[in-house]
Amino acid sequence: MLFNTVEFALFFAVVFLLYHRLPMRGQNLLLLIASYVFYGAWDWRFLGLIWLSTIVDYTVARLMENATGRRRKALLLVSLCTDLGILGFFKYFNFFVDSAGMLLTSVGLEPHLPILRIILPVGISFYTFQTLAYTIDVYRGRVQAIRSPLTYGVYLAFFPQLVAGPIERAQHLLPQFTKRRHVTAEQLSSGALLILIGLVRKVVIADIVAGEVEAAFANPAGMSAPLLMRAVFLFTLQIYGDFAGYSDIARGASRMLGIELMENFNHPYFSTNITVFWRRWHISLSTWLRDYLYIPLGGNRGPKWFVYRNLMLTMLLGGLWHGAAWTFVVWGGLHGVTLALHKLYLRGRKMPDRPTINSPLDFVHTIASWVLTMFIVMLAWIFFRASDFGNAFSVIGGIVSMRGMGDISTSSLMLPVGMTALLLFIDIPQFLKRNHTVMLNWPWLMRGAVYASLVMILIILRVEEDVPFIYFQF
Amino acid sequence: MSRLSISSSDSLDLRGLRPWGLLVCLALLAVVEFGMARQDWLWSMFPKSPSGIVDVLEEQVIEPAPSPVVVILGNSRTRDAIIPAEMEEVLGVPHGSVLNLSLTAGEPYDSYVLYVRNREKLSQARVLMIAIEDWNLNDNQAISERFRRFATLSDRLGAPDWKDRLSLVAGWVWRTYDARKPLGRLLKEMVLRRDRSVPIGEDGRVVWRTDDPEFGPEDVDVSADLDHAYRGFDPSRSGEARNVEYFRRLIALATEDGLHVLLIHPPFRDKFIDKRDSAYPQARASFRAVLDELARMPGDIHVLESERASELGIAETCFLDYGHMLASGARIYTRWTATWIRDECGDALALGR
Repeated sequence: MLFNTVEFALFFAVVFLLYHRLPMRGQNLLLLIASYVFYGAWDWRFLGLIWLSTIVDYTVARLMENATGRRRKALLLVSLCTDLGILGFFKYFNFFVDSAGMLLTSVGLEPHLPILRIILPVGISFYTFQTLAYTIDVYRGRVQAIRSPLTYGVYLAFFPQLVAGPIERAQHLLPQFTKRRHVTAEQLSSGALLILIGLVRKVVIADIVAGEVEAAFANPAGMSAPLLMRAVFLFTLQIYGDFAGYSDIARGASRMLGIELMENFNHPYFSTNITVFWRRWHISLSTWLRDYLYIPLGGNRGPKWFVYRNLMLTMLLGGLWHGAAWTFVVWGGLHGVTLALHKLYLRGRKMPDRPTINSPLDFVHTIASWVLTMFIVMLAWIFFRASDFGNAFSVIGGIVSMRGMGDISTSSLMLPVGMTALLLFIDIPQFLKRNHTVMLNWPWLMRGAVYASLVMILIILRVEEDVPFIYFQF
Repeated sequence: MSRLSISSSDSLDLRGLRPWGLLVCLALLAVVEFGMARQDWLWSMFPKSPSGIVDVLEEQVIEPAPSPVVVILGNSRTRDAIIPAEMEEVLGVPHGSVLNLSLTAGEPYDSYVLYVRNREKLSQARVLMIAIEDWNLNDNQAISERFRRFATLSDRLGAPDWKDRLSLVAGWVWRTYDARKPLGRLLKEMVLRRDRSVPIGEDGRVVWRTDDPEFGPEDVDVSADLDHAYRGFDPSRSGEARNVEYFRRLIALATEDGLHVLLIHPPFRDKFIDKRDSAYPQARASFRAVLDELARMPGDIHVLESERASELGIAETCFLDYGHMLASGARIYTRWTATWIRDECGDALALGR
């Protein structure tokens, strides 16, 4: 069930109305049932995987509380093996077999390795990381194991964030399911506004440009350099609109149920360096990787090369998390290299979240930094979007060759310009006021006009078919 | 202020709700709904649009027509396949008495609604030619803009897919949702210049291409068209297709009005038929069964079917693509159908003269 469909609107309306008529325990039960219905609507067979992770991790965490030493470690290992085993099999089995096959072929062997037809269960990377975080935190003693299996079931399967995050932490999300919910008028309004903004980002911006991006990446050899640049730019808008739009809807729907989800995007394209970009892009994943991979690897401690190695490993694995393909690894690698270079450039200085501009030179420096950052981000997106390396290099080659530089018309610029304008209209006020629901503070007449305009844009510009969210495949 | 709550558990607390922004939003949406989406001018203001073309046909072709003898309802293939002047010559009827009202992307519902809206004039004809395609039996087709414009609530409830039904009922309640395409055109017009040209040719046919060559390519790739027409096709349920019901209704009306009904199925490139028969071997039989069922309805109903171009001596080069005929092919097909009408319905034509 996609957020951008009438079915979800009806589903959510029913859940919302029932939910606020129930006592707390009933609310959790309703959320659990609704979440399984939501997930089962895509493919009920894979509910078994969620149930398996729920049962194993709930039990492991409970047993871990009274265990010490090797037994505690062994229990953690059970959880890690179960979760990563499921993820590895369903997501990476064919990838590793393919890669091993290629490696063996390259050294002159003729391997006959098995290839299985495995359907990737939607959202598996997201809920696996969420449940892993829980057992690791219980192991570390940062979180107490939850006693109620119902609460743990809701924590793992909570439908607004089940299939594409944000990847929540137990410390933040679990306590919210154990206390009475209280949704104020302000929360209700801001939740609804987040849903509206999310739908505009997804249905208008991401879905409209998707066709153009698809056409260009499907046949880069037949495209001129300006049209390829346009496609890369449009994909930059698409991936942001799609994923940030999803996160907005998830947060909005959740807020209307009295559950606060973490912020997942904080205007990443306004970043003036790659370090800040990663503080603002897919925040729930980057902080997860920091806390459960980068820091355990050694983090910033130890010799410099050690730190850079940790950074690279984290980003490479982060790339692989997105998809079982080497193009994602390269995407992560590119970000890893630029993050390491930026760390080197900073030499231990702290990087403020926003640049301070005190002089014209600061301004020029900020603009140049932003351009460089966006160049790196867009270059990396090519590998993220491409079907394989041949496709990626065909796009890059087409741009570098500068072929058909005159092949750009005013009408072909309308889409990128229009979509950027719409995105900026939403993002600039949010960024300036550091508030995602800043529109609620606008004068009521202006607010009403903006809401009506957004609804009309949503209705008029939506594409006929419901387009799935890109991150569902991860 | 009193505590407002819809909940027994008090988890929803609506104190301090400031609905003014929402009310302004709803008021503006109501202005769009009643000032535009529910007004006919919005749908008819763009002559080249799928809905605007209906008004153009009605105003510029049907209304001025002195006395129609043959009326043709169908889609772009039929629009291309029958040349009114050629048919008038064979039948020996006055100029302007053969009306080819086929619409681009025309569907059975469009034929039905066009007849219903103009029944007084069209029922004066002697012969009604209705084009029927085998993909009309496939319910897995997108909802058209014309359907959104004209469909009644019961039409909408008859949509086979529950998601479509939901979307169509939503559009019936909130017309803005149905009118999103015309509204989009209006929005576009604010940026770009409006195209005011009228897409009707001198012979009263809808113009959807210009500068056609006399002959087309020898060979074309038909796989995409085949996939488009048959995706999701269920031959076992073809007779229950929503479109078949519109054919039934249209035939019943025409019969009631005393017209000869001729179900036509203009030819395709042989290659298209070969590929269809190999990819969808049951399609032909289910199509034939529906044609037979329609032909058995009460009234004077005939089927004039010739799906292979070679059967009529029409060369592959007489097609632009998989099934749209160029003038070279259309002349042959028109003469063939006209001769059949003259031979089989000659008395009726004489009555109408």
